[in-house]
Amino acid sequence: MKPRFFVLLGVILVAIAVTVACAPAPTAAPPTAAPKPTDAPKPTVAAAPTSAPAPTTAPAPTAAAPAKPKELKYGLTLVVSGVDPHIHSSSELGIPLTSVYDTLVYLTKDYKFVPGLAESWSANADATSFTFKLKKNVKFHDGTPFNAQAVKDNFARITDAATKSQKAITLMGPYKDTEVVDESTVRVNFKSPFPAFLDSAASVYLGMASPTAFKKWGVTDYQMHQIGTGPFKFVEKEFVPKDTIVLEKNPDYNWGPPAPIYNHTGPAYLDRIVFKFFPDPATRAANLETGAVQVMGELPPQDAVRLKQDAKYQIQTVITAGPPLIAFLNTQNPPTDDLKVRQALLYGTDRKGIVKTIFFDLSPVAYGPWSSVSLGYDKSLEALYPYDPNKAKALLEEAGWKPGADGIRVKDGKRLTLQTYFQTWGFLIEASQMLQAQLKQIGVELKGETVAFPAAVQAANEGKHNLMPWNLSATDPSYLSVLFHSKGGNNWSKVKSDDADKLLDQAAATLDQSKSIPMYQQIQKMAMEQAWVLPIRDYTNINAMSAKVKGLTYDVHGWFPYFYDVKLDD
Amino acid sequence: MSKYIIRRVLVCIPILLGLTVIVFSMMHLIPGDPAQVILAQSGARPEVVERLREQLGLNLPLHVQYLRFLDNLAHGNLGNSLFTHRPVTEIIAQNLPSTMELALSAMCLAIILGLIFGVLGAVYQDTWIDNLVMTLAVVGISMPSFWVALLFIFFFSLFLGWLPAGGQGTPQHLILPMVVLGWNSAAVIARLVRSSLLEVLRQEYVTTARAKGLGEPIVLLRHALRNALIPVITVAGLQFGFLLGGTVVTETVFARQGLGRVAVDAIIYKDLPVVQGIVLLIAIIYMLVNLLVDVTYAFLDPRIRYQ
Repeated sequence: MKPRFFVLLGVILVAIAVTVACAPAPTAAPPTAAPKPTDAPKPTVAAAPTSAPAPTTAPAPTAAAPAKPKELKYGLTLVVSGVDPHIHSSSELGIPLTSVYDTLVYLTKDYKFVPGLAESWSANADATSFTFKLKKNVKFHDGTPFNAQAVKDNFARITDAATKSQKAITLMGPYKDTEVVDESTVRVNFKSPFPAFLDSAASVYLGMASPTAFKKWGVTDYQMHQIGTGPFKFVEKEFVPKDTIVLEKNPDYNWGPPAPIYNHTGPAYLDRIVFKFFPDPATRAANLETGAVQVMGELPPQDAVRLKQDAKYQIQTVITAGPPLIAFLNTQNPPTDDLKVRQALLYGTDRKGIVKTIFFDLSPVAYGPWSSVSLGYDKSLEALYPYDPNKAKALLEEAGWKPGADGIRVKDGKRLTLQTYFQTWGFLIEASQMLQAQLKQIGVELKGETVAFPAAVQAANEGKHNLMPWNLSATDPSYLSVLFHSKGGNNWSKVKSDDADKLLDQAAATLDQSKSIPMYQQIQKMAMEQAWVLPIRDYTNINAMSAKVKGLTYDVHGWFPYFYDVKLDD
Repeated sequence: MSKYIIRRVLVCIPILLGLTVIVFSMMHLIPGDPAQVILAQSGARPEVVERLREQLGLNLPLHVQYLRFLDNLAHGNLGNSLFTHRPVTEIIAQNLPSTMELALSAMCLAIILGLIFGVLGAVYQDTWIDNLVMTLAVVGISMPSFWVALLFIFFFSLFLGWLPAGGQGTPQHLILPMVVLGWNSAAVIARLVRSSLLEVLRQEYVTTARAKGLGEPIVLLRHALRNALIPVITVAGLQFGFLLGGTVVTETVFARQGLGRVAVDAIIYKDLPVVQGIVLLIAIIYMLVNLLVDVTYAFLDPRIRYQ
């Protein structure tokens, strides 16, 4: 009888011993030992904290070479929904995979196409057919040669219904088929004019994957073994979904795009890149400061402002292309079905105040449905809606909304109440609270509900909102039809305008940019004159990194880093 | 005894089935359509959304969807994630070890700290030791773990530089999440051990033990504590469920891999098969732990019999 208690105590102690013993990952290096490279990054705030720590998981038996491998640790934010660029629509997947997959062409920040895997290209007059001359002697990471047949197989995979592509398929537009003209010439045909195809072809979602690999692994398994032609290889052994992505240098790489995309020739400088996810914004700066990562994406603005003062860190702010952070104003749902009410909202919003208070001026004010760095941005819109609360009040008076007892305007016994939905990302809650206070001053009540992403999508699709704040990313101005075409996938202003539809269809079929861009500018002007959206700020990707990281640039979207030229100082 | 265990396991089956019905209906009550969510950021036109809904089987009536799920379950298949298309069993296998490592180590910490502090509080009742220990316990119960986590990160990682702020792989990485997660349960257990031990110490057999000249440590550990432990074991079992739930916050704050984080993502994005799979698994673990708790009673108190 008496030993029983001690048996139980023993069981507990053994359990503890087991858990503690099982706790450490394979590398059971004594934690007390002197700073070994296999240990976790040394969390010291003191001088010289992070000298490019070696792999934490240290599987590499090849480490016989005297030189320490150059490894970059990169902190990602939103956990990706999946990592196959042909299938998934996550924007985070492009951060690591832009370095794994090369694209046929690349788009520079001034919207010029430069050669990628294609050394030259041409389109027929009505933009229904694009011919690409491919680079020779390009090999996928598994040794499969890259050629015209590979391009055909890639496009066939994306457009196959069984692939259930979420984004790439939309980028393929009215795709018809692909012809292999010869070993290094390929022609892609469309059922109707599709001038935006070059823009699509520059997207990581249409990155070229090894046909041998995706045929071998099948639709759902390929994402665990990704094989491209890029400057870095996907290390499948170390891939842990939603947790870790590891890339290693492709020593054979010598077919990169020209400057300003990639600025040297031959293999990349870094040996390895390790991506980890940090979903909690509050701890991102801490993980950079303790050296767990050398680059951290999407830092909260207040942390970015603080780290900016510190010489050990550098802050890169990149304005993203496409729609800024905008609130879609529902043109079908009262009271925002009244143009005067929508215009009053635009005059009554102090966007400069919001940007200054919440984003510490790290993010510029937005003036239209298309951000200032995007192709075809219409600068003339900046003068349209200055902050003018008196004008806003006058417009509401004209629309018949008179001040009520508590300051909120009333018309026919109804209060001027607008419904909005806040999501928890991008400081939308804080921005919306400020907006609430500003609109109250002109007598508008903004009622907000905090919701998760699916509920916001549903409310937006069903049109339950008056205001719906959102951010999207794109480079080709034909994307404006996603926002404002009556059939657009994100037409959350519920625009039903024949003029807009006609103009958007016409612009989307026009190959000559000198003709299509004025049309897109007309659409932007229409959107603002009709007050379809309330622009708030140009979305800015705030990245913080150790001062030792050199040569990191971002693609034209503003989201995807180019790691090829990155060097790490010792 | 073995009969008892078999019966308990069999009773679990209808409970689990009922649970899947509840989870299934709850997930459908949450607003949002997975097909729309998947395509929301890609500018897809309505017909593309409709096609995806068909491909995912989301256009079928609810009861058909549920029967399909049961059919798969009977074949040992939990289905595939709507988003990544990977099998749910694989997702669980990848994330379970990390979550169990965290939850079990937090549990051990909670039991050890809870026992030590509880016994100290009871033995030194109404002295400064008791007051100190119970104040700590109240603080432990009151502080939300996401806040404690941030405080610990700022103090131990940034200020002192002793421990990593996030990630995993070495024992040091486990310390902060384990303490943050186990702290609260340690406080609950400490309070219970103290009150239950105080009650037992007042009983006559303890006086008898003392009267026959046994040393205080033996009276305390062999006679009093054993009887005091029965309610504690019950609560410890319940706390394990609490800890599994707590991994959600801890894993997010400390950027650890694990089921909690996967579950939160799956709930937010309405990835139904993943939610179902994880809830089912956690329910099974929870039931097994409670079964273990019930069996432990007999071990502690031989007077307890199972029929």
